Amino acid sequence: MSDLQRPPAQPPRPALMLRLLGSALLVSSVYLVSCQALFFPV
Amino acid sequence: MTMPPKPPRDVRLNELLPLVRSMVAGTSAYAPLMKIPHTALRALVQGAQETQPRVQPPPLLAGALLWVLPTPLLFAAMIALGTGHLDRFLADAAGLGLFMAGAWLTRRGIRAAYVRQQPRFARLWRWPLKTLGGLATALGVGVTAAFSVGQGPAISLAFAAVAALGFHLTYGFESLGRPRAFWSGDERLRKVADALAEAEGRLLDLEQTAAAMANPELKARVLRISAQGRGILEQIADRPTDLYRARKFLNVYLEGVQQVAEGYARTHRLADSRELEQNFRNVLVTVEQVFEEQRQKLLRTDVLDLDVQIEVLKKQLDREGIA
Repeated sequence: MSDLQRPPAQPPRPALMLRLLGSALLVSSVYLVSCQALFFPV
Repeated sequence: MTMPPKPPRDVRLNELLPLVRSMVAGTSAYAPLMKIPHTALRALVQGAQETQPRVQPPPLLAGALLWVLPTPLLFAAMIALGTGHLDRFLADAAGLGLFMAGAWLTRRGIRAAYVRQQPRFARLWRWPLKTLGGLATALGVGVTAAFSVGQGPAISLAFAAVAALGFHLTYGFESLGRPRAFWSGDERLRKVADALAEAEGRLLDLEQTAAAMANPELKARVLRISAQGRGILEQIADRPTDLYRARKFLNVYLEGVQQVAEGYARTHRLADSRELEQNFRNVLVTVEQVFEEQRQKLLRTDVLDLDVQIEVLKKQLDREGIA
């Protein structure tokens, strides 16, 4: 296989556990701050 | 005689193909029930395979979370407006706007990664939509925490950082700048790579021009030419020495067809003329022939080289008294 035939490298996707952790962080931060704005405004 | 079970009614084309294949091969339990000639079935299978999209559609709900999560902020903004707190309403609306922009950009980024034809050789600058979506989401969290909830700058920043980290782990930020498709210290190979990247850039431009064309026949012709061009590029990538043989194709015809297609698209918008359409069609037919000839020429060289190699091997075997 020549160098030109080699397929381009794809960025790796995070592992499942890390993705779950990420979703938990994203949900808690966005949802929490939105709920705070609704129930405890300035 | 026991009848075979009825095939399920609700099957997708992809699931149906193996079944039809087994019928064609005569190994299926349904084969005796088939009254359709095998040649027609084969054509059906082949046609279905050709029409199957090469790229998968993106998951329907990918990125949907970002639209749903800030819903309480919408109610907060409406309540602030109802109770006459303009400053609170503006803060909530700004946060909500950032969240919506983030969700939209992320969805576009996810879809683009699925649908877009990935360039094989070219390194093109593209907006990192998912990254921008992540930044908008993090900024939205920071702005809401600071101005709607009244947190201090440190806490707001911490909120934004947590959201950015969560976004990165869930959707992943795109890397800025595409890496080279391959790396080579060889000067000759690098030249080939640059030529291929430039040629693919032209093909991508050509496809973009074709997408804007109203005439389906001319559009199909241009897309076919582009597919032929890609085939030739693949051939050159397989054997970089072909570049020198295909240089005229890369420099003259590819650039020519791109300019003519752009010219047609531009002029056609201003004046709808049959003559112009016919002229453009003639050019496309010629280009299609030239591209096919070019491909055949490269293939013939392959065969010729193989003949020479076989001849050399035969002579070597003769000389060593093996044959």
